[in-house]
Amino acid sequence: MKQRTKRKKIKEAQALFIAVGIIFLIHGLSLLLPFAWMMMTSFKGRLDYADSFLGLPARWRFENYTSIFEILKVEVIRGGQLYEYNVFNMLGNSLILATFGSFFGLLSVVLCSYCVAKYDFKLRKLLFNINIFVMVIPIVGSLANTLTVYRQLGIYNNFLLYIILPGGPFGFNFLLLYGAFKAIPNSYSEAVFIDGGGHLTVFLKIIIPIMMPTLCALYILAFIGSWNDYSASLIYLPSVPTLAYGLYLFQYDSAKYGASLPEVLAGFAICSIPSVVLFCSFQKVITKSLTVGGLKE
Amino acid sequence: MDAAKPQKRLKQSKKQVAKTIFLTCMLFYPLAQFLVFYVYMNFNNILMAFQGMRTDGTTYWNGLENFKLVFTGVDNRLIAVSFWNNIKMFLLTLVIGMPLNILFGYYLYKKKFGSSVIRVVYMLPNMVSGVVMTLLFMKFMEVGFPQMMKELLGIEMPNLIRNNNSAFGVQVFYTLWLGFSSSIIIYSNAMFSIDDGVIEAGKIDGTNTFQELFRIVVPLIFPTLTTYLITGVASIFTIAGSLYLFYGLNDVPQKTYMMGFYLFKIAMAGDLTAYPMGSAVSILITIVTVPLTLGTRWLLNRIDPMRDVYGDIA
Repeated sequence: MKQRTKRKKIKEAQALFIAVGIIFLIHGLSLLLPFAWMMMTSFKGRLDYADSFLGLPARWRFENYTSIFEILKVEVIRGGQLYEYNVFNMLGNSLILATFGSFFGLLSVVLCSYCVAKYDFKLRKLLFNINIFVMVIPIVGSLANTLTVYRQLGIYNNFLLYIILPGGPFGFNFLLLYGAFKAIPNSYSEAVFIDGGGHLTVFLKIIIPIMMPTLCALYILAFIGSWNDYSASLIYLPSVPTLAYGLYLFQYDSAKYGASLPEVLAGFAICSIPSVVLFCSFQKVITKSLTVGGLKE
Repeated sequence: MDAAKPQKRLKQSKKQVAKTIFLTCMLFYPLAQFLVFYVYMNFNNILMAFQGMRTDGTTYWNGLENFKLVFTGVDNRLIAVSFWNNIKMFLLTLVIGMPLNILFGYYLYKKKFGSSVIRVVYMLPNMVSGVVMTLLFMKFMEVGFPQMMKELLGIEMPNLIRNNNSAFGVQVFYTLWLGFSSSIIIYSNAMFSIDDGVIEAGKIDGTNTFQELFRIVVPLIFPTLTTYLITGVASIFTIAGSLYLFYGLNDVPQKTYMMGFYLFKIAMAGDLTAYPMGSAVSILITIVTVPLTLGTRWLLNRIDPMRDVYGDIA
C-alpha cells in the first residue's frame, strides 16, 4: 500500500516535469523565433518577404548586408549645423558608449560595495542602509526632471560627460557585489599586509582577480544592454546617434531611405553580432553569476 | 619598552591615515554620483513640482497648481487609466509570472531534460535589441496570427494591437512572454546555492518532489523572492511597457496608457511648460508607492518561513 502511494507520487512528479518541459519547449521555441525570422528575412527580397512570412528565401540575397552600409545614414543637428552619420560613425559611437559607459557604470558600484563589504568605518552601516533605502523606498523621478538636471549640468548631448558622470553605486548590483566581496576570506588581504602591501595592492592584485568572473559577467551584461539600447541617443544624446538608434529610426522611416524590411533586418542582424558572440563566449560565467540574495546584511 | 610604545602608536596612526586616504579615494566618485544624481535630482524634482516653467525654461513659483492639474487638468482621465493599468500589469505578471518562474527555475535546478540549452535560450532575448523583438511580435500579431486563425479556424481576427479594447491585453502578454528569461536564471541560481545536505536530509525523511519544492526549496530561496517582490512593488508605477516601440509617441490607444509611458511622453513631447506637472505626478506616485512598499516588506517579513532561523529582514 505504502509502495503504491510512493509510486503514485513519483509518477505525479514525473508528470509535472514533463508538463513543465513541454511549456519550456514551446516558450523557448517562441523566443528563438525572432532570431530565425530576423535571419531568414534579412536574406529575402521585397516581394519574397511579402509572399511568405516565415519561409526560406526564394533566393538568398547576401547583397542586403552590403547595401545596408550604403543606405543607412542618419542626419542630426549639432551646434546649428547638419551632420550626416553613416554606419561606421554610428558603430564607433556604439562601441565607445558600450565600452566606457559600462565601465564607469560598474566602477562606481565596485568601489562602493567593496569598501562597505570589507572595511569597518563610520559611514559603512549608513551606506548599506542607503542602498536598502534606495531599493525599497521608491522615489519616482520624472524623466522631465532628469532632462532638466542634465541640461543644467551640461550632460545633455555631451558624449564624454554622459559616459563618465551619470549613474550611482546603489541597487541590485551593489547587493550582488557586496555578497561576493563579503565571501572572500580576510586572510588573503592580511597576508598582503604582513608582506608590506597596502590597501590598493590588496584591491588590485587580490580582490579584483578573484572577482574577475563576476565582474566580467556584469560588465558583459551592461555592455550588451548599452549596445542594444536606442533610448540613450533618443533621450539624452540626440546628436550622437548609435547604431541601435540609427536602426530604430531606420525601421520607422525605411521608405525615406529607400530600404525594405529585409534590409532593415540585415542591419539588425549586423548589430546583434557583437552581443550574441559575447554572450555565447561567456554564457556560463554570465548565467552562473546572476544571483540575488535577500535585503539583509 | 617605553620607546617602543610611541613607535607602535605612530605605526598604528600611519595605518589609520593610509586606510582613511584609501577609503576617501575609493568612495569619492560613487558618493559624488549619489549626491548629484540621487539627492540633488530628487530635490530638484520636488522643487519643480511647485514651480511653473516658461517656454524658455525659466521657472516661477506656482504653489499647488501642478498638483491640482493632475486631478482636474485635461490629462486626469489618462492619468487615472495609467494608474490602474500599472496596478493591473503588476498583479497579472506577479500572479501568472512568479509561480511559473519558480516552477521553471526548479526544473533547471533539478537538471531535467534540456536544462543547459534552456539556460542559453532564455538569455537570448536580452542579447538582441528590443526593437527586433517588438518588430517581430507586431508583425506576428498583425500578419501571422490573423492569417493563422483564418486558415485554421476560418475566423477573421481584428488587429489586436490597434484595438483599444485588446491592446492592453497584448501588452500584458508581451511582458509575460519576454519577462520569464532572466528571472528564471536568477531563481534557479538561488536554488543551486541550497546546501545539498538539506535536500538529502529531506529525501531520507521521505519528502516527495512537491514537498521538496514547497517545504524546502521555496522557503530557502525566500530572501531572493522577497527582494524581487519588494523591488517589484517599489517600481510598480514606473512600468512603461513597450508602448513607445509599439505605437510611437502619439498613437498609443488610450486604454493602454501606463504611468511610465505618460511621464516619458511629457519629457519627449518637448513642451517645457508641461515638465512641472510631470514632477507633480511623480511625487504623487511616490506618496502612494512608499506605504505600499513598506507594507509589502512588513508582510513578507511576517510570513518569511525562515524568520525564526535568520531573523527579520533588515
